[in-house]
Amino acid sequence: MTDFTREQLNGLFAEPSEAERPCVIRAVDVRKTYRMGNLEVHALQGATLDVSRGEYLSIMGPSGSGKTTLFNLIGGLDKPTAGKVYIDQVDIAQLDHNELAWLRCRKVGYIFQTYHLIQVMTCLENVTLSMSFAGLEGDEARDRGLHLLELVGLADRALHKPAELSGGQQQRCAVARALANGPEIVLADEPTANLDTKTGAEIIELLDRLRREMGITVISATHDLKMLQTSDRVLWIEDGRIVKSAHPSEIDFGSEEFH
Amino acid sequence: MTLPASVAFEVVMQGIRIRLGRSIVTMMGIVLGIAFLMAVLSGEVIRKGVAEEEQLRATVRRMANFLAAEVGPPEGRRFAVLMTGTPSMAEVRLLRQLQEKRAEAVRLASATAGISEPEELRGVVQRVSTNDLADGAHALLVVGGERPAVDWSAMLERARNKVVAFSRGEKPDPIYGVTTVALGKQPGRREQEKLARDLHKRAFRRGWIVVISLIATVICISNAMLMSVTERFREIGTMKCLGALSAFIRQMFLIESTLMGIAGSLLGALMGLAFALVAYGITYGFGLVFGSLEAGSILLYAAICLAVGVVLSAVAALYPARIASRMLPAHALRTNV
Repeated sequence: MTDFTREQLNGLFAEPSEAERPCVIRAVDVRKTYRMGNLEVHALQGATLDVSRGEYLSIMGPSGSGKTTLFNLIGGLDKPTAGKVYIDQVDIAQLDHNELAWLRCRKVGYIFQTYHLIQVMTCLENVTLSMSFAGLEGDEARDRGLHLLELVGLADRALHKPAELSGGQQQRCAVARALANGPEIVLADEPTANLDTKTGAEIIELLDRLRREMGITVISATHDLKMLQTSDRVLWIEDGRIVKSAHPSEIDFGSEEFH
Repeated sequence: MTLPASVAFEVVMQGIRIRLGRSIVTMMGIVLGIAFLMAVLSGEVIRKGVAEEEQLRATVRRMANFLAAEVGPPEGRRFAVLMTGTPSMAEVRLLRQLQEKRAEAVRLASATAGISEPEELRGVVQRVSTNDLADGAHALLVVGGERPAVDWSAMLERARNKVVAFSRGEKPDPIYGVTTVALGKQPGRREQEKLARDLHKRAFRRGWIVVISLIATVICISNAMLMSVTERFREIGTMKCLGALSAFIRQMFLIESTLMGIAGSLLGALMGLAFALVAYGITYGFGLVFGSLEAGSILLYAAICLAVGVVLSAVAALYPARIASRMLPAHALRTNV
């Protein structure tokens, strides 16, 4: 790695121009304050970031650092106390309930640490449910759902309920569900935290493959070394602030921080 | 954007199947409220059907009361009955009642030849001759017609009390040396007004109890639906992340509640009807009660119950559905229930 010249590195990590890699998500000085009784918790104290189309961004930081909060805000799951979040140039603070639902439905796919599959439904139904929110129903939705399950290697489990599947299989189903409406962005909140190393690696590989094949922007909050290594950029969050931004090649994964 | 109501319906059906136990508990709230309403409503129908019987019973009760006012309770007393014509249903009932209340003896004689006592009195009364009819009697009852032409002083000579009770007629016919009572006296205007007032009051009270029980039903369903919302915070959050509209979430809870409203009301209406039938059947006899049932009114009342049940359960779900639909997805997912 030391063979790179400084110029080369600068060229590699310089801000890409707007025309080349359009910005999908932009957060400007985003703050979030929770009230817990009389106590005010400043979960996020001014975070600014740009995410380009097709980028694989990892966010890391200790628990309680505001990772999930940032994740929720840029995914349109929560509203910031102050600051602006733009998804595809649209300020999400300006959107009403229904427009936000539309955005979550078509633009963003979510993957969670604990999968959040709907327990009463089969894998296929979990995938087609979000399609029905986008107005796609019937055989068309079914075919598309089966195709997606095949893509994540879960075709033979399409009619099983989440409770009958292993953690890795459930997460695969969640990935298929996240892709149901062809989103531009996939947000993954510690997708491998509940999985063993091998299954985790499979999920990472799957996400990476899908990203490259479909040109999806992936943002994940993670501690997983493999995931960090695969990503284009890593953001550090501490005490509600973004403290560092680096390419994986610049990071010393042998350092104490990762053990 | 279209609202996939059929999807909401499917999701709800799956939810109900999985959480069958809790759904049944929720439904029981509706079942009880509607069963009570239906019992009261079908009670009205049955009461109309048994009105004749009830009036007859009231007449017998009044006659017995007038008699008891003069000679005391029938137990251990001897009654002489002078039959001047075919006794009416009420008179027969009165005599049977005297016997059932353990009168020492009920002796019967015919004032004119050729009248035999009705079937129902066989084994209840002893047939004796006119001469020793009133021996040791506490009262002499005249049944079956107006005052007969007899020598009262001769007849009552060996009676314990010189009391003659006429089962018919408004006013007692005076007889020298004898106390006369008219058992057929109708209640006065004041009494009738009081009776009507009592009836009105009772109907009013019944109405209130029905209203209160229905309010309790609404609260019960509302509470159960709130529980259902809390139980499904994560599910709701997930669906919102997938792009479910608030309207979809609201719809889901309204559909769930309405479905339970329909099922609960049907079951409740059946149970209420069965309860009313059994309760009135025990009092008035099952044959009479079943005979008094009118399919038309019963169906009408069942339809009313269904409508009330569905509306109430939908109303009860409004607040929980609102809470569920207003929730921010991030908040819903954060909650660990």
